[in-house]
Amino acid sequence: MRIAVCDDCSEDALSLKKSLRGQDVQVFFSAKDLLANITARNLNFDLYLIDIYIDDFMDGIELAKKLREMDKEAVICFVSTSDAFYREAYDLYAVQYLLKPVQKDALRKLLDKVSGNMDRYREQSLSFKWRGQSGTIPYRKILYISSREHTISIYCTDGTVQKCKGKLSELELRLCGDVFLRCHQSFLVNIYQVDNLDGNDLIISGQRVPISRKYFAEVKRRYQEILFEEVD
Amino acid sequence: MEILRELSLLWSLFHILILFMMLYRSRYPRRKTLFLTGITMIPLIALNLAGVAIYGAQFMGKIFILTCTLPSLFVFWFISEDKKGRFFFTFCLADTVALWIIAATNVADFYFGGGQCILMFISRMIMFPLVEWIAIRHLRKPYLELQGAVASGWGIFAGMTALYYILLAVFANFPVIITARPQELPTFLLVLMLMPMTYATILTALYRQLLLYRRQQSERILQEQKHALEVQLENQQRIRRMKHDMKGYAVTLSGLLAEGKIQEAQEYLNAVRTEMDSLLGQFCANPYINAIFVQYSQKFQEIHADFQLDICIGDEELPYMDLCRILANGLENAYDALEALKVQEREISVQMKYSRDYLVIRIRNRCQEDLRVEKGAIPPSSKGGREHGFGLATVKEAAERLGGDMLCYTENHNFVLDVMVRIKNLSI
Repeated sequence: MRIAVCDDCSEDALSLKKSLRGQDVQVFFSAKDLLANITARNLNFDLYLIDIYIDDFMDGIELAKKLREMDKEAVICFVSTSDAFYREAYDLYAVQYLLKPVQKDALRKLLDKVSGNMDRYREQSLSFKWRGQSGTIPYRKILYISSREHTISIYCTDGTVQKCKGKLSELELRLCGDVFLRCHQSFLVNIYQVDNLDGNDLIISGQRVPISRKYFAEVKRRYQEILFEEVD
Repeated sequence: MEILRELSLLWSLFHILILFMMLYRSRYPRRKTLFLTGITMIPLIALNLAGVAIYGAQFMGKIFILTCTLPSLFVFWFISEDKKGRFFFTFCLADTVALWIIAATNVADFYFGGGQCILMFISRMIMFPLVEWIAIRHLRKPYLELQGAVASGWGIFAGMTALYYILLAVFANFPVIITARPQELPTFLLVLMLMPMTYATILTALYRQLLLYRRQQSERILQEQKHALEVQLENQQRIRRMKHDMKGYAVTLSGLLAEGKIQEAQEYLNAVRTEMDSLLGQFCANPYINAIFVQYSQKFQEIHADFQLDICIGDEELPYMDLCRILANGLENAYDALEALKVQEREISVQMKYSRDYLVIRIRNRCQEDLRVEKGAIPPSSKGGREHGFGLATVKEAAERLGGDMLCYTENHNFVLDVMVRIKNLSI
C-alpha cells in the first residue's frame, strides 16, 4: 500500500513510518511539500495520513480539502493530538481519525479497513459499448446507473454521464452484488456512494434516487450494514 | 326527474371520495395524491354516470360493486399508506356511510316525496356536507392520530364494516330495489338504524385505544423524567461523597505539612489527583455525552464490568438531548443485562463514529446465552412492572426523530444495539 504521511513534527512522522513497516511510506514535513510532489511527480497514494496542525501555510483540514478537490476518491486519515476536529474530518469523509500517540492496534485496524476497501474495488470495472466505441469505468467512479427505454445511463463521480444500450436486469447480473444494489425498476446504485437514506429516496452526491416499495427493506438493511462497517 | 337523480348520484359519488380522502392516509404528497385521484376517479365517475343514463339507475345499482366499488378499492389501495385492516376499515367506513345516506334518502323520497327525486336531491345536498362537517370537526384528527398509533386490531372492525357494506348493497338492490319490496322495508329500516349504533360502538372502542396510547406516551415521558431525576440524585450523592473525601484529604495534608513532610505531602497530593481524575473521567469532548459516560462508567465499575469506549466525536454541536436519551437507555439496558451475569462475563463496549451523513452508535454487551433476538425485533423487557419496557422503544423513537433508525440483535452471546442518527443537514 502506498502511504503518504504529512506531519511537521519529524519525531511523530518517523514514528508513524516505523509503525507502518512493510508498507511503501513517504514522509512529507509540510503541506506544500506534499502538494508539490503530487503535482510535479504525478504521485498517487492509497492512503494519506495527515496531521491537523501542520504549518502556517495550510493546516491538515485545508490540505485534505485540497486533496479531495484533486482526487475525489482520496483516502484520508487525520492524525492529531486534539479530538476537536471530528466533525470537520467527517465532513471530508475521512476514513479514520487517530489520536496521538497512535496505537499500533488502531493503525492495524485502519490498514485492514483501507485494504478491504481497495479489495472491494480492485480491478472491478464496468465495460460497455456505445455507438461502436468501447469504454470502461472503475466501480469506485460510479454513483448509480439508470435505465430508460433500453438506454442505460451511468452517472459518475466526476459528474459525467456515460450511455450504453442494454437492459438493467442484464447489467445487474454482470455487476458485483456487494457493491451495486437494485433499488428501483430503473435504478442500480453503488451502495458505497450513498450519503443517506431520506424517506423513500437515496441521496447520492446530492442527487435523489428513488427506492421502490419492493426493494425498500433490502436496501435499508444493506445500507445499515454499510454504515456499521465503519464500526468494529 | 331523471336529471335530479343523476345529479344527486354525481353529488353522492363525489362526496364518497371527499369523505374517504379525509380519513385515509396517502403514501404520496398531497399534490400527487390529488392528481392520482383525479385521473382515476373522474373517468370512473363519468363511466358510472353514463351507465346510469344508458342502462338506468336500477340496473347500475345492482352492479355498482363491480363498476364503482372494486375499481376505486384497487386505486386507493395503491395510493394508501396502509394496506391491511386500517385501509379496509376506512374504505368501508366511508362507503357504508355514503350508502346509508343514499339508501335512506331513496326510501324517504319514495314514501314522502312521491318518487319525484326532489326530496332525494335536497336531502343528499344537505346530508353529505353535514356528515363531512361532523367528520372534520370531531372525527378526522383523532382518527388520523389513531391510525398512526394503533397498528393491530383493525381486521375485525374492517370485517364488520365490510359485512354492513354487503348487507346494504344486497338488501337495497336485490332481487329488485327495496322500494319495490314494501314487505321487507321494516327489516331494512332496522338495519339502517342498527348501523349507526354499531359504528358508534366501533368508534368508541377505537377512541379508547387512542386514549390508552396517549396514556402510554405520557407514562413513557414520566419514566424518562424519573430516570433523569435519579441521575441527578446520584450525582448529588457523588458530590457529597467527594466533599466528604476532600475534607479527609485536607486533614491528612495539613497533618503532613505541619510535620514538615513536604515530600510525602506532594506524593499524597499526586495520589489524590489521580483518584480525582478517575472519578471525573473524560471520555469525549462533548460535555453532555461525557456526563452520561462518567455516570455509567461508575455504575459499571461498581459491578466490576469491563467497560470499553471508542468515542470519535469532538466538541461539535450535536442534538445532545436525544443522543443522551439514546445512550442512557441503551446503557441502562446493558447494565441490567450485565448485572444478571457472572462477574467474569460482564463486558460492554460502546462505539460512536461518523459514517457518511450519520453518527453511528453501537452498544455491545454480553447477555444470557438463551437470549435470541432477530434483527428488526425489539425484545420484551426483562424487568416486570408497568414502569419498565420503554427503553428500546424510546431509543427507536429518538433515533427516528433524528432521521435515523435503531436495530438490535444477538450475536455470539452478545446483545448488540445499533443506532444511526442523521447529523448532516439536521437542524439542531
